Amino acid sequence: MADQAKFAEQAMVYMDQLYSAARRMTRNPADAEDLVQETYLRAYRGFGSFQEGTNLRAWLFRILTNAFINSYRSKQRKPTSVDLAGVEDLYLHQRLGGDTKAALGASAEEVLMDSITESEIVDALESLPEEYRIAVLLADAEGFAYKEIAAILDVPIGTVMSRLHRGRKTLQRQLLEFGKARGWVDPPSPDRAPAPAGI
Amino acid sequence: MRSDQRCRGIPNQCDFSGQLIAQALDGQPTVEDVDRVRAELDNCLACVQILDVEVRFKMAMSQACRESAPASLQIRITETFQRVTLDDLDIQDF
Repeated sequence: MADQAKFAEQAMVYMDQLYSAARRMTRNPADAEDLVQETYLRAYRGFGSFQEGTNLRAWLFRILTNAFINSYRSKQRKPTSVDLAGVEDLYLHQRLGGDTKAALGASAEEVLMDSITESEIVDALESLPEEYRIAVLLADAEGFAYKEIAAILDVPIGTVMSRLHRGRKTLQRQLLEFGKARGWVDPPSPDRAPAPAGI
Repeated sequence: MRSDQRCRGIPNQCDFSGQLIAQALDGQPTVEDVDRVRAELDNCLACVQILDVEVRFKMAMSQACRESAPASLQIRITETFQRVTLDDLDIQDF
């Protein structure tokens, strides 16, 4: 059992990480501050049950995520669940090729990744449906592994993998649109075009 | 993912390696997975490019999403810890 007197010393070092995640979850600074504040309050209250030696960062992120899902989602009047089953299953690396790549050499991907601004990446992430946004955020922005994300979200690892896969592909597709608009990415080849509806 | 699947070494058709590399980067690879990724990278330039793009994507995401909490928030929470005790802690204190 953790000593509550040590809570601030041990937990406050994660404030920037929690705030960064809260910004992407809530999509605005005021709600993010409220969410982080609520997270620390809940964590302080529950610190007695935290097992020392386990992953404090993951524990705090679990509280943050639960607080967001239980408190802030209902306030924001956003869609809570969107099926991305129809997401075109193409990888970023599969769409960089042809004449553009030949002209740029082997560094076409580097050109694209180097040219996208941070605000464009953030906009693309924040446009994802919530359950996919949180999975991508925890994996790619915060560096949690499948197992940790499954514990944070209290879902099976297979669900994490599915949400992460679909969320990433949707995000990468948006970045590809950015690249296409600037002529760095080829349009999809006919053999990879989505099947017509009804087939 | 079947263990007998392999990258075909053809640019833009390395779907298997793309999945394998993503799983390896997400921190849950088995020893067998790592060996298979290593084998793919040794034999296919396209797979090396897949790895490069996936790593760059994760790095870009991490950098783009990093923000500092406002100093006012840090001060407010720190002061609250100093002021309240567990027994009389109440949401109204915030």
